[in-house]
Amino acid sequence: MGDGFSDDLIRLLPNLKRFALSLCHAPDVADDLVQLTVERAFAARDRFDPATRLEPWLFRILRNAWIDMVRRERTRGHEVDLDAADAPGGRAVDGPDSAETRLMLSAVQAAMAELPPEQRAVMHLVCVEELSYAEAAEVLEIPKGTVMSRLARARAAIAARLELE
Amino acid sequence: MNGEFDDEILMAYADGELAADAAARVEAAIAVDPALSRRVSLFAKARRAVADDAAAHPPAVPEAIVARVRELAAGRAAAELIRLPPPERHRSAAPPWRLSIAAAVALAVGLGTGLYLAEGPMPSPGLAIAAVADPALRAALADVPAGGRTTLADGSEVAPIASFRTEDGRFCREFTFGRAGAPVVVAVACHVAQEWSVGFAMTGGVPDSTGYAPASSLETLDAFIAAIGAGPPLSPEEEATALAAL
Repeated sequence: MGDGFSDDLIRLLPNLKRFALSLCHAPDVADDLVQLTVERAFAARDRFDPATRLEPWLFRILRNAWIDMVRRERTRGHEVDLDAADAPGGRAVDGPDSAETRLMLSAVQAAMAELPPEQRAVMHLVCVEELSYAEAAEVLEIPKGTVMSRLARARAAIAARLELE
Repeated sequence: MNGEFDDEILMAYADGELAADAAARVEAAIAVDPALSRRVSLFAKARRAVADDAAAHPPAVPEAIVARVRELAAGRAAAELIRLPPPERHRSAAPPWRLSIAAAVALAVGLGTGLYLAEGPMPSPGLAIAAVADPALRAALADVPAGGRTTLADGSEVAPIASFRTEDGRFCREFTFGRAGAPVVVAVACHVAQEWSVGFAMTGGVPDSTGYAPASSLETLDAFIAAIGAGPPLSPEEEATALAAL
């Protein structure tokens, strides 16, 4: 029981925050998501197999919390685009989507923000959080083949956007 | 364009995700085909650009969240050292025969559209009878604090009575559900895997004109709540935290 679990969780809070930001773009909403993930992780702690990696388990909790949040907002009449393929630049849930905010993004962040959400999610999990394809598939609850096809499209788009050659 | 080596294979090679024999085939191919080699390199560069950018922009985590992790860890440690006191409101564990009374009383009732409970033997406390299907009722269970009351679009009334956690950490709510023309139902639902699983429901158990609920019906409710190892009712603050975390 000891606190390997909570130490690891604290160590991974920045990673959770980063993933949350890639999903919702608004820092205060991202903080709420991380908070929610912490609560649920502790509630579900006994279902975590310590022989497995903690990162995929936590990211999955966070992503499900995000889906719940979107659904809850939807039932209150606030439309949030979870999978809007036509949202260039991403869509902030609650934050300003002003030109000013855009100017603060790095070239990479801007390129990532232009990806469709489902591509951005796999790109983030594999290339930033260094999950394997199989782990990313588990977090997003999609087949590994889907991870690969989304990732390949995302990578090609990023490379083109950043003019890498 | 790439013959047998499409983008996904080249990318998987760049990411070290290919099995040894497949990787060897790609290696052999890129050794003789500069276009393939450039494509692999492009995938690697895109990955590195994104990774480096992330490393250069560490996100801020509010100290309050770190504190909360420590609090949760400490709370759990404390709970493991100190036995939780027995539930204040409900009596101690009922003998097994009481549960069969509960079974006989747990009738077929409607709880929101699409949810019906079958008559029959009470399943073990760990199993759900059914899940709440009605989104309005689900929303009410996730929102309305104990002691509150809400009217759903179809005119039925939901009134949570108490929230508690079972020994194995499930968050449960006792509530009444009233529909015009039907007997009021008192039920217990636990939030598990994004669903509200109704473990217990019965008619009666609510105050009649004297203002007191029939004693026999409360006993069956108590028996169920004790059988699932419920802790004491959550304080308003604890309940609010638990609801927010759903």
